Parts: sequence; structure tokens; C-alpha cells
Amino acid sequence: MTRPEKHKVLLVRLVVLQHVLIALLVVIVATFPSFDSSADVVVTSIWQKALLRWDVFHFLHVAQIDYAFEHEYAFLPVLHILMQAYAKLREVVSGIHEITPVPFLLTGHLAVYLAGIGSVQALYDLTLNTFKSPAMALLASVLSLLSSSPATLRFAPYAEPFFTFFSYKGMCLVLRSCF
Amino acid sequence: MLYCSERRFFRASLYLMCASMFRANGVLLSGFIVWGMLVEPFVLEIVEQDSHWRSLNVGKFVKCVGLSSLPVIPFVWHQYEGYKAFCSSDEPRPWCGNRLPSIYSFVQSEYWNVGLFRYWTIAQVPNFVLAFPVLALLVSCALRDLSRAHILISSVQSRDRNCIATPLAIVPHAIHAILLASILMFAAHTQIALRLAAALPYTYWSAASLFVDTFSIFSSQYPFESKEVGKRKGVAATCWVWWSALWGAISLITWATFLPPA
Repeated sequence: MTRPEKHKVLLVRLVVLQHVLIALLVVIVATFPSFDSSADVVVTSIWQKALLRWDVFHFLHVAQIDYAFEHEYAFLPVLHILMQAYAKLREVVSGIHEITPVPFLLTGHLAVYLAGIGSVQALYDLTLNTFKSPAMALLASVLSLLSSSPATLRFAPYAEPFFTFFSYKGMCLVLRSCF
Repeated sequence: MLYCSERRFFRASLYLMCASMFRANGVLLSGFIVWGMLVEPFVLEIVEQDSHWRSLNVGKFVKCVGLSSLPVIPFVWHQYEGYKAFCSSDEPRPWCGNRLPSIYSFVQSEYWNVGLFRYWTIAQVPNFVLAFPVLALLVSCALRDLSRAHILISSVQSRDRNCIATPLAIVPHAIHAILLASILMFAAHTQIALRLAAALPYTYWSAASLFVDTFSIFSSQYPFESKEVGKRKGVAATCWVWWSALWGAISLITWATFLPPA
């Protein structure tokens, strides 16, 4: 195994560990009374409430019933389409039209995990091909695990995890050596 | 080689288009295509004092316009969908009559009060304080890198090879960081810098430059020698790690308890 391959294996393990720790912390803290009880109206279990914060309300609503209000056009549609993946598949297979929030939240949450794993590897490749230094690539990638918004990058179904992944991949291809 | 190069930029443009399907600020990513196809080859011709100017031709320019338009398409399509939904009825919305009817601009202004200097109120000072560390890192490092990019070109013209230069590959990232930071500081809810900066590779390269002089890494790749090879910076790096870890934990707790910032 080459040095970059070893680094990427380490990074994937660190990201998975980070995702688990973040999920544990958020779900445990979510058992305490929240400042805003909006999520209590929509979902029942603690982990669902932990996911349902801030803009996730908008994403969930659009995923469930498409764009219904003008303000929802602040958000581009692909995240909602992603969150609909399981519900649409179930509709095709069983004919059941799903509108309860749990499948959409869960699909988005799992997709964020995949995007996080892909992003850290993409950042490693981008940094390696920019700086030509495996040590620098590892340093930058490890520092990315200390992000300034772990909830929206590693836990909740937000647009940022996917935006990050595709941005890194595209930026890397602009470099000659990434091709 | 030309086919390989064109295929690379086409794939890059597709990935960046996918990114801009998730966030409207993805339209700024078009700049990376323009940089890679036109600007960087042109600058390299200047550096190598190549007078053939192969990078400047109409065909390449047209292809660049086409490929750099791809990341803009999702945003434009979304505006079209909004226009169809709200401007086709008997009671069109106020923004429908604008010269450029953009539901996105209207919604940001109307519902989120986003606009130039609108967020600059006393009540929002805490949000500026929260975003300050990451914005300060981005802006300071971007200004440093861009100032050295100027030296690269001017030193070639003066034939002075004993100076520090910014490798071209990170210049578009520095420009992107400055643009995004400016938008976040002057025309957005500034605290979202905490989310958006986490999606920039330049944030982590800037953080890494607090640990090691990143220019020393390039010294063997470029004709210009770095004057600060391998120097380690202690205090700033330590502060960054502590702030990242502490704020990361605090932000998870505020998220879980549904406290601001969003």
C-alpha cells in the first residue's frame, strides 16, 4: 500500500469515528429540553428531533410535498430529490406514497455519511495534487475533520456535505495531474 | 493530449455543475474552469516568456464559455421553475416584473432580509464575532497569497528570481475565498461562513499554513526560491486547533438544543 493509500484508509476511519461520535453527542444532548420545540410537532423520537433543526424543516417539507411556498425557492432542489430517494423507490416497488418524515430524514442522514467519506478523500486528492506533498494532504484533511460546522457537514441533511464533495472533485480535475 | 485536456475540463465542469445543484453560490465555481482553461495557460506563457500566445485563441475561448456556463445552469433553471410557478397566474408576484425576475433574490431579501449591509446591526454583532475566526483566516491568507501572485508576474518582467511567489494552482482558490468572504461579510447572514468555509479546501490549506510554511513545499517545483523554508508557527496553529475543537463541540450542543446560530 502506498503512503497516500495508507493516509486515505486512516482518514476514512477517522471520518467514520467522527460521524459516530457526533451522532452520539447530538442525540444525547437532544434528550434535554430544546430552545425551540418545533420538531416535537413533526416527529417523535429523539434521533429524528436531533436531525430536524433549522433549514432541515424546509428541506423536509419540499422533499415531502415539493415546493409549496415562495420562500422555499431559496433552496435548490437536488437535496430534496436525494432525500426522496428511498420514498420514491418504495413507491415504485410497493405503490405506497410515503409522506411521513422519517424516511426522508433517514435517507438524507445516510447520504451525508457517504458524502463525508467521499469529501475527505477528495480533499486529500485535491491537496496532494496541488501541493505534491502527502504530508500536506494528510494535514489539511485531518484539519478538515475539525470543521466549523460539524452538525451541517457531518450529521444533518444539509446541502453542504454534497456541495463540498462535488466542489472538491471538480476543482481537482481542473488540475492537470488529477486527470 | 488536446482531447485529454478537453475531456478533463468537461468532467470538471460536470462535477462543479453537480455542486451548484445543491447551493446557489456554486455559480462562483465557474471561475475555476475559466482559470484552468484560459488564465493559467496565459500566465504560464508570460512566465516562460513564450511569445506564441497559444492560450489565446477564439476556439478555446468559446469552449471555455460553454464549459464555464454549466455550473450556472442549475441556478438559472431554478429561477425559471420559480418564474413558471409564480408569474404565470392572474396575480403575479412583485418580482415578476423586474428586468431580471429572480425568485432567489426576492426570497433572500423578503424572507431572510439579505442585502448589502442589512446584517450590519448591533443585534447581529454576536454572529459577526462567531464567524470572525474563520473569516479572518480566509481573508488574511487570501490577501497574502494574492499579493505574492502579483510578485510572480512582476518578478518575471524584472527578471528577479530571488523572491517568494504564490504557486498558480492556489491562486484561483484565494480569489474564490476573497469573493465568498466579501459576500458573507457584506451581503449575507455572516454566521453562515461557519458552514460555507467548511466546504472550501482553501480553509484547510490556510489552517495548514499556520502549522508549516506551505510555500516551502513549492520551492522545488518552481524557479523561485522560498525564503522561509520549513518554519513552524506555534501560537496561531494552537489557537486554531483549540478554537476548532471547542467551537465544534459547542456548535453540536447548540444544534442539538435548537439554539442559534443556524
